[in-house]
Amino acid sequence: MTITIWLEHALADAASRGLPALRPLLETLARAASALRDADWNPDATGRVASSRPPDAR
Amino acid sequence: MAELARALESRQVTAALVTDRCLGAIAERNPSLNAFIAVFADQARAQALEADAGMAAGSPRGPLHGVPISLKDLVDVAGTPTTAASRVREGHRAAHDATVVRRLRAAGAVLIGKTNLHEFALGTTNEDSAFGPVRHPLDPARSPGGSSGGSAVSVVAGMAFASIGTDTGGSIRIPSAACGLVGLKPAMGEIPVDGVVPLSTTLDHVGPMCRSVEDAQMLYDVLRGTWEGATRVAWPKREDAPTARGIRLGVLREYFMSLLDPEVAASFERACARLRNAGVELEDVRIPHAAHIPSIYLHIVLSEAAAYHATALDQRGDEYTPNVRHRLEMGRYILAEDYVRALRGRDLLRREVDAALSGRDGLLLPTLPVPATPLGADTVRVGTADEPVRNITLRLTQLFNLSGHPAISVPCGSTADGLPVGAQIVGALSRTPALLETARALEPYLGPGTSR
Repeated sequence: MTITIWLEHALADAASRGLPALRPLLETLARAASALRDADWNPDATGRVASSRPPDAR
Repeated sequence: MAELARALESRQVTAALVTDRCLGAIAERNPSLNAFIAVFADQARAQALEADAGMAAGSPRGPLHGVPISLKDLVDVAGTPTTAASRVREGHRAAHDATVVRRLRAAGAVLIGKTNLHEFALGTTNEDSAFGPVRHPLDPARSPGGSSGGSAVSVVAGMAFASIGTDTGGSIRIPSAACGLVGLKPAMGEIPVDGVVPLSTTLDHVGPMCRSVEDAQMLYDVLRGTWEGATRVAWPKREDAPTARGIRLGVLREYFMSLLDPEVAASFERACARLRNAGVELEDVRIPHAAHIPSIYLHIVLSEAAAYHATALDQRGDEYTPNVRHRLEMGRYILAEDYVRALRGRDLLRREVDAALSGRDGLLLPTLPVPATPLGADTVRVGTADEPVRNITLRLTQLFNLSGHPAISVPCGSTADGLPVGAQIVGALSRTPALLETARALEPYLGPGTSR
């Protein structure tokens, strides 16, 4: 599942459960998950080496 | 505390007297500081009288014989509620003592009460508590840090001689730094966590908060179980600190120094200069994947917390404080594949910390990038940007919960307003006693805390 699709589903679910305040938190989580998926330590079933894109290092 | 233990042993003071003094401080200051959720006044007085009788009979139980200690209210004491500062826990009563409580009792401690915390330890300010916020003893408009904020305040305000806290991302070290105390997060798995309400089962640690590294050494020995079943007490000796000359430290730079309050940075650099003058060898070191720490931490802590809280969230969600409820709910949306990526990143970070420690006695960095934060603030100004309080307070401590390395916060001066600053020393895995010796050697050069 892509992060974009995951976020759409998560926001819709949170809204349906009466938790709209989760929106900014889920958006934060989406950014964190993207950083993990882009990290250079992830093995890839195709055998390719992941390209590293470090998150904002501030 | 070590001085008190020696005074009790030589019967210069009685446990009854010091316990009464602590209870007096609680009566006087707790209404404004809100450090305690429960005070065991009658039980503590009875334990103190029993301790004095034992000492008079020549049968002390251990090195904490008669010393008043407070406990974060995440830790089970048989027959009393463990509230975790949450309405969700209403009606709870612990059936057994946590192992750490059993060990404190075996060492002779007087248990004076249970301290306030950020609800379920999921936060760093103590503002989200069913019992109201804890206030900083030096400035009641500020947070003492968290989540073990009540524990820190209990020690600083003279309500206890030490406290037992928990640390999942920095919850012992952050309030210790904010309040001018010493706080030790031992290595992962060294101190049992049974009977302690979990936050994140692979990140949780239990440890002491106290006024000196010597106190931390005593409490660490007790929490490890050294005095369970002991037949003879070895009292803490008055020993000079080991020499600092020749100690080799790696100073973590880049990510770890890129977001610091200017006064914290200045205090830390002054301490580094004093250490160099004392003959400590300092070299800059780096953690190559440091920028990934927050993402890795977030995925692990929230997944594990959500697993523990899922049923309560469904059945009693409205009884959590809103901020804590929302963060726990956030964890329920994390995908297993991302959790596994975080676990792989954690392994990598552990190896990078090991590499930074190689050939060195420890790593050195500030504990908390900012002084104690104002109550009610969502963000604090750091340099030219406003940073979320939660992110900035966890920034320098959470790595060592991920990696499992022991880490201790030691006072490192103060700001112009008198707010304490802390420095963190990190040791090798399985070498917490060596870390404590290093910290005792460095303590005089790091600078006094405001409470000492």
